[in-house]
Amino acid sequence: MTLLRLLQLSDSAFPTGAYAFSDGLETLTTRGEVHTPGDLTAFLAGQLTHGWGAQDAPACALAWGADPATLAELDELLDDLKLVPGPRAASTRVGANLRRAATHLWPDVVGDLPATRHHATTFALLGHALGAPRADTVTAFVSGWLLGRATSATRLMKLGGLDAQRCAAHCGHAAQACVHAALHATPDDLCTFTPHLDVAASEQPGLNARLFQT
Amino acid sequence: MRGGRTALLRDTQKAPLMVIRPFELPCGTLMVFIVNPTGGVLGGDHAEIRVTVEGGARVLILTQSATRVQPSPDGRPATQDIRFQVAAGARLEFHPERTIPFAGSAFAQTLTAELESGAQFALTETLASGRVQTGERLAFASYESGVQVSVAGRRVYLDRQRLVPGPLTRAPGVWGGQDYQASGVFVGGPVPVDLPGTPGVLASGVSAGGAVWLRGVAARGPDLDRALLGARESLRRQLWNAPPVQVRR
Repeated sequence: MTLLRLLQLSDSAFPTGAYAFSDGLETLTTRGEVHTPGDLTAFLAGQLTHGWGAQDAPACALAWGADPATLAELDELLDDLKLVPGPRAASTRVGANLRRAATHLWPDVVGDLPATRHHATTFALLGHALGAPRADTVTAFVSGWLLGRATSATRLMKLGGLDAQRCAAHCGHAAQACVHAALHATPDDLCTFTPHLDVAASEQPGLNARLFQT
Repeated sequence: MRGGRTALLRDTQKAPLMVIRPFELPCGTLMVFIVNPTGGVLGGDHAEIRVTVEGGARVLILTQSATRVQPSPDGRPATQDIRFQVAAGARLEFHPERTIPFAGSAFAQTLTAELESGAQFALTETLASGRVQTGERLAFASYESGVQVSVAGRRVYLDRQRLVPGPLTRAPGVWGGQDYQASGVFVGGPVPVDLPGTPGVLASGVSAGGAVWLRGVAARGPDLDRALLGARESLRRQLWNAPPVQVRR
């Protein structure tokens, strides 16, 4: 039952609204900087290694089973580290939607949980409450991000569903390394190096035609 | 402050860092150079910079040349710890020259700025992928930078960057095909109406804590420097109603 619930929680069809956010990928595809399946694979693996995966995945790992004060500190840390307003707001919106949907489905489990705001901390909190092991929770979180971004790309590029899944599959080693690093991280390890995406994500609101909110 | 003008009241220095005798700019800001007359920083070196700015003072700290991070044969990083304290009504700007990590180098820097309410602070810095002109790119071992700015004890800006170059460093979204990156933060004053930016090169925004941040990438250093200088002057004008800085070197 626990695994079923965790899979449901991380499914791209779970109503979190995550499908509405590209966090800068839309700018890169619009500019032609992510144009081919190879570009997309590099983008996804690069973010798992140097970007989202070095910040949100360890935050999820640290939040799993954490006390309310630690959860609040992690949320504040994510507030500050997410400099670009769009992805920062997207993370808290998805976190709120995730909690709302989970509360609807499992009210007796989720009802009295401590407050969280960001996607990473909320996912960890719910995974722990549903009885999922820490490593499984982080793996599901990383998988959800990877497949969600790959699916987003099918709306942004000339890319079929099978090709997008192939791109995600090619990121298997990067995803595994991301999970491993996250499980051994401390709060001081949360960091990124993504200047290219930071600039792109900042400019997304100014694109002439947008499919995504960020 | 001495006689209503910004002055360097106390100055303690130890090699390899030196403080060059400061001089006053036409706007009244005191410009101070911190120089490293050696060939750069070496693995295992540790440098500390401590600056306290009293109320009413206007200070601009620059470095005379790029920070060249020399190779670290034993893998130990060169470390630098910078701490600023800025009193209410004071302004401190720190715009060091570029950091250039040579092949095999490792560098870790922390910068902490503690501001009283009503203090003004600015930082801009740039990083190269290596000695680009000689074709040396992404050959360094590691680069790490942590910058934290607090106002009245409340964190308003936190930026942590860590890069161990690898096969994905050139991926779109990471550094792409670029060789230079910029970061910066401005604190104090109203939220600017016009957040400066140069499409595809430099962006700015407001942090969760209300600081204005800058981030940039470019294939050529001068392009990034130009965008950064323009953003810097725009923010100085909008946040502090300050005239452009006329630096004399």
